[in-house]
Amino acid sequence: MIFHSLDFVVFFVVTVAIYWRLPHRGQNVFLVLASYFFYGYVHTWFLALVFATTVLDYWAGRGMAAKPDRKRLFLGLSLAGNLGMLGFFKYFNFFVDNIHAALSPLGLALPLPALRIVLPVGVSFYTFQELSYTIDVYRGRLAARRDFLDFAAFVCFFPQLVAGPIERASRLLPQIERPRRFSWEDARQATFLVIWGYFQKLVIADNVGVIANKVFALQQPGFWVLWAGVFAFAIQIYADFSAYSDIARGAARWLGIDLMRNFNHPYLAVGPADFWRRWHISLSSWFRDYVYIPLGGSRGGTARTGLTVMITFLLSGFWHGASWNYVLWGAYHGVLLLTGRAADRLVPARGGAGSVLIPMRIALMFGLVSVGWLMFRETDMAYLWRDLRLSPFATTAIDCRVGAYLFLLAFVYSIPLWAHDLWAERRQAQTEAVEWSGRTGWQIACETAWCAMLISMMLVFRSRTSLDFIYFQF
Amino acid sequence: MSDALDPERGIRRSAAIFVLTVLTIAVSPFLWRVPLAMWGPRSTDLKPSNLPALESARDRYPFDPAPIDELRTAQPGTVILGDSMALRIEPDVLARLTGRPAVPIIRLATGASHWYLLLKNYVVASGIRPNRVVVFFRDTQLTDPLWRLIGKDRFSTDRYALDREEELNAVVAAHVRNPWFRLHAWIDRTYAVERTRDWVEPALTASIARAVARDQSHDDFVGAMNAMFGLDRLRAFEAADMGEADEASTDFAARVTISTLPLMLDLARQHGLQLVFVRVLRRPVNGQPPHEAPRLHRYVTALRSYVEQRGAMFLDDRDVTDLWRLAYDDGDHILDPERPRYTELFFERMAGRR
Repeated sequence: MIFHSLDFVVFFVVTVAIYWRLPHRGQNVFLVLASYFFYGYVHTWFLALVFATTVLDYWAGRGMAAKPDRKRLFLGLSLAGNLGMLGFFKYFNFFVDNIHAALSPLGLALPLPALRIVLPVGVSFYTFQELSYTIDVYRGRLAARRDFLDFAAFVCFFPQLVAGPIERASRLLPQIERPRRFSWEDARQATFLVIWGYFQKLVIADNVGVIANKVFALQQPGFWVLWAGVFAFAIQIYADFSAYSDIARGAARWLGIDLMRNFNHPYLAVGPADFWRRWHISLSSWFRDYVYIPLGGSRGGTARTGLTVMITFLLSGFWHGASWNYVLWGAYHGVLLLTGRAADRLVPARGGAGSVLIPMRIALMFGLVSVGWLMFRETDMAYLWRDLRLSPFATTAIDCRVGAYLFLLAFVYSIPLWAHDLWAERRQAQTEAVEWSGRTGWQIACETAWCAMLISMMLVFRSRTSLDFIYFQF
Repeated sequence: MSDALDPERGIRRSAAIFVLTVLTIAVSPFLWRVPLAMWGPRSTDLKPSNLPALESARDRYPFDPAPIDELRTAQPGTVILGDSMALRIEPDVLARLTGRPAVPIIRLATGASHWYLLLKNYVVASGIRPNRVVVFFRDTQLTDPLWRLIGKDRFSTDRYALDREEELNAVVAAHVRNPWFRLHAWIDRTYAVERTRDWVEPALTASIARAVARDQSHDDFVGAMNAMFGLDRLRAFEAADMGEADEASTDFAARVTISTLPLMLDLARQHGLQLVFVRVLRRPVNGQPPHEAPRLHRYVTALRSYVEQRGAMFLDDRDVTDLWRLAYDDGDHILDPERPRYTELFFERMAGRR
């Protein structure tokens, strides 16, 4: 079931109406049932996978608690089960294709089968979420759960099951385990989040996504048209994924559960490290905590740290998809991060937030991130190589004009996103402080006016072409 | 007593704020009516929709009668209807083989409802008597009247729909009797959504186009931009624009009664036209037809039986092994150089030689 469908709206309204009439235990039972209905709505067999990994990780957690001396074995089984399933469904064909490609110059051909099966949506997200549980139990940072139902609700919690945020067990499980109370204030906040999420998706992401799709469908776009398309894609992927996260957070809050923020105005980052503190926070912090730090983090020398950073980013790129362009994208960001660190050591940052250099650094970082988005979007390496070698001087008048037109159109659609992020960035400290507490009348009035404007704009400017959420494919 | 000391009062206050917020949000889109009334097109200039089940009054493109004259002038032996799938026929080759002109009336990005209108308002309206009218389609398209009738491709029907299209409207109405369409229609009526969109969207894109077009006229700029994104400038994609048929769409008995297929067959019978429905072969995989689900196979069998019982001819490209080996371009399109060969094979099948 997808968020931007009437089916989901009906499902959600019914779910909320029933949910708050139940006692705590009943709520959790109902949450599991509703989540399974949500996930199995199109492909029922997906349920077998999520149920199998739930049983596996619950059992591994219990095993670690009961037999501490065999913790490593249980962790290994959990890792093998989750990563094995992920590898089978997501990477099997990639490996087969690459083995064929490697052997064909030698005149060898292995009779390896190709997997003709749809990738279970959300598998990358919920396997990582479950791994956070078993790894934390192994490390002794989290007690293994006794209640299977609560654990199942943690794994399959429908607002974030399909595309995150990838929640930590230490954060989500306690919320599921403790009684929840309905609050009108939460409902209002949740409604604002959902409206902002739908606006990002239907107005911004889908409109600029049409521009990006058109440009990336061209055989030989000129320089300016290509980069207008890259700009459009940069906006699309942020608005699209941020939309999903915000709708997920809003839906969860309607159910009395607080999900983590996945984005913190990433295009206002002043450097690579800052960008990764703001972009897909749940995934980047997962890789930080479960890959980067266990590999040594920044505790080793420069070379060792560099290697650790590169491994982390290569894996992060590979997580996104079974294609070399994602690996290249990860490598690019790894190099960018290391270069940024070296630059920071050579030229320490000076001045505060008002420094005149800040806008320049933001613009530079947005440009560098956009180069990365070109690698991310262009799955055909031959086209990518061609695109990266395009010169701004080898252009035509119509290329310049159409490029300017597409850029301006994408920019106009993205104005609310920039306005929101700039405003929120300025008020970050205050916003964070009052997020869960009561708002003043003036703040409520401003938020209501903002949402009223969003709804009005959504009715008129929503895209006529409905695109899937990009991160569904991962 | 403050809210902190009286929880009940605090809850009531929060609930009241919530309700006020929702009401404000619900009322706000009415504000669009102000600029629409001041600067937008007058509501008296709008034409009532020819498909009122689908949409409210809007500014429509005029009917294009040119193909009627073309048909009368050409007096074709074969008329070809369809979307880009019908491009696999080479009209000149077919004309040479049949000895009579072949006239394609092909409209890209269209579906069964569009083809019904082309048949009724062009072929039948012209009064010509071709030997056959050939309709190219994919899988379940003939019983899916909403395919490309809703969304961005809807407006192309303006060029070949009359002011009233009662039969098609009845078919559409049978499909939109569901909560989603009702909600959509209610929102549209309440907030004048489509009218506002039809005014604001073009104004936005045109203002940006004017800003960058400089010395070029707006129309020249748009023309140059459309040429830049023309089909010949696009990459070859394997993925077609139409996915595999799902369970509901392959229920032939349930779908056919609320489709344009009976209307097309009735028209043909009334006007003595021989209809030929050609189900094109979806993109082959390694020289073999793609996998066909049993439910789709049953659907096609029922479809064949249905149209043949009503005097039409049914050809399934999947049955012809020679067609499996034709080279495909993107999606379900065959490469241009393969079109003459396809046309020859088509003619042989028409003539009963295969």
